[in-house]
Amino acid sequence: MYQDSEDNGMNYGIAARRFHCRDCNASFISLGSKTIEYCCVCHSNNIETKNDVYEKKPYIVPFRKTLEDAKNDYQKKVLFHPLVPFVFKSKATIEAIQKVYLPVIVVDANLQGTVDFLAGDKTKIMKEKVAFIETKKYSVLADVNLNYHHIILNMTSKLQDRLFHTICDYQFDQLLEYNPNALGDSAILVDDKDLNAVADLGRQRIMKHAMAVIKSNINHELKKVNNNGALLNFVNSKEVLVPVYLLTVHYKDKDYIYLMNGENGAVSLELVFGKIEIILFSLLMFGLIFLIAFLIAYFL
Amino acid sequence: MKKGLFYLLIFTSFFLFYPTTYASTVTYPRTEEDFLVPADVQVTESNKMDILNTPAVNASEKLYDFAELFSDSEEGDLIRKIQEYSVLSRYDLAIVTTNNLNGFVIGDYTNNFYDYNDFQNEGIILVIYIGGLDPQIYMGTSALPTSELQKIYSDARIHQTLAYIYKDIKDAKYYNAVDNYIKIVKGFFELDNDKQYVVDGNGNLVKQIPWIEIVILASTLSFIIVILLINRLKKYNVVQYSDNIETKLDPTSIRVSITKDEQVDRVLSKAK
Ligand SMILES: [Zn+2]
Repeated sequence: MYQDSEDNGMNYGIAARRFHCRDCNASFISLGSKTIEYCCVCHSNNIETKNDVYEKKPYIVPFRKTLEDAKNDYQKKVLFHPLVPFVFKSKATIEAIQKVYLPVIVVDANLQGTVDFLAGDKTKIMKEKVAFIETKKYSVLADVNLNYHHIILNMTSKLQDRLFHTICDYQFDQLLEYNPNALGDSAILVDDKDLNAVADLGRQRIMKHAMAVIKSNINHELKKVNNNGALLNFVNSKEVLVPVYLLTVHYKDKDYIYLMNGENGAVSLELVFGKIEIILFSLLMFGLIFLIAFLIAYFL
Repeated sequence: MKKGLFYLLIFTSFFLFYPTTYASTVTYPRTEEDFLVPADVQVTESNKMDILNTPAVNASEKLYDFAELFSDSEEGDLIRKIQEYSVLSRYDLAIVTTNNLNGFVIGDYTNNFYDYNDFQNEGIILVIYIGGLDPQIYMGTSALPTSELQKIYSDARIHQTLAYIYKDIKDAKYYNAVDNYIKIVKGFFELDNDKQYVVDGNGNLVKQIPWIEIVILASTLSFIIVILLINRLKKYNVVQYSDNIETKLDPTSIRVSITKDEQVDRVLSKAK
């Protein structure tokens, strides 16, 4: 299986197969022997397979939840809701839940330097029986240092940040060193985002949060950044594969996503109601209540 | 020996489980010293003989089977139904069967029986007389002419009721007749009070089903249930973007030192 396990940085790589979904353009890689027939993002079987070499050596957050856990959780949320369209509840849909590793970058960040604020306080004063607003303006310099640990940058465009961030509370303290055997047959989604663009978005997120923290330390009513001389540096950047269970349900030209954190079981689920199901359920309810009311009226 | 025991068992269980018997034909002798009439009845020369000729009974028994037309279990069943009617309507209901009208015509016998025994002021009474060539039945009502009871048991309805049960009485189906009688008088009461019953062309009581209300109830309830379920679903679709970045900040690392905080300007503006 190993082409060359010598880690000399030159020709490290493992034989792998790369799958490309012609429908949603997702690429994923499997190191195992099992052929992946369905796209792990859109469940299409319009898949192109080719041999490849996996050259990365990402850290791994191992699965702690089993596929059965994910299926049970999904069924519990979907099966007993009468208005959820039948397609969500079909056996084929439940069986389509995929065990997937997502590529992320985990970084620590340090913000250091001087931020120049323009601050102010407003007070109401009376001058010869006329009310005035007095605004005192201040120049404030803050020397700051903030450290962030384990910021997660999602490297795949196939899973939107807004969904991924709801479940991405992974423990990065005990990361597994890369070991291809630990990945088994699970599909690995291939990162397709530009690292610089992702890093920029991450910086913006951090800077926004950091400025709020710093501002809370300035004792004036009004404050705005005049000149930001603080530098944000990413340190300890690591490529990590994080475990998720993923299911995409197509319903009426829209995709609905079930996403479970494969480590702690946190879940994000998008659901919708079906018109046919509403009509059927309403009729059923109507009939049932009608019958009960009739029986009560008849026998009491 | 075994068979003997078996008979004994049946015999004793017969006594154990056979419904309680109702001795309802007990009468009390009225005398000149004690007329045994309710407190509100004035005994005068003109009604004295009528009183003495009217059987005195325990007014709480309700069913007075002097003619012995009912088995003990039938009596128990009818008494239970009479009591149900009384609880529902709060009217008294007395049913008398007799072979002997004591010289009265059946209407007078009926009214005297009700008036000279200690029944409630408002109530109805049915007398079945089977001593003559043909059986006779009579229904009396006791209440003020303007009362609710007189409205419920109008002459037309009494006529309708008696005509209906008379068929069974003629066929000697006394239990059926009285059972139906109680149903009908109960039905008339409910018809006027709950509107739950209607009487069809044959004099049968038919429960009136409030179809419109049931349809409204069923549609409203199912609508509410569906709306609630839809709302529950909508919660799933609001994905909370939880950028948990605040948990990533190392609190021990935070250092913010204000190195300069100088006033640079002062502006006065008119307050609005
Ligand atoms: Zn796909």
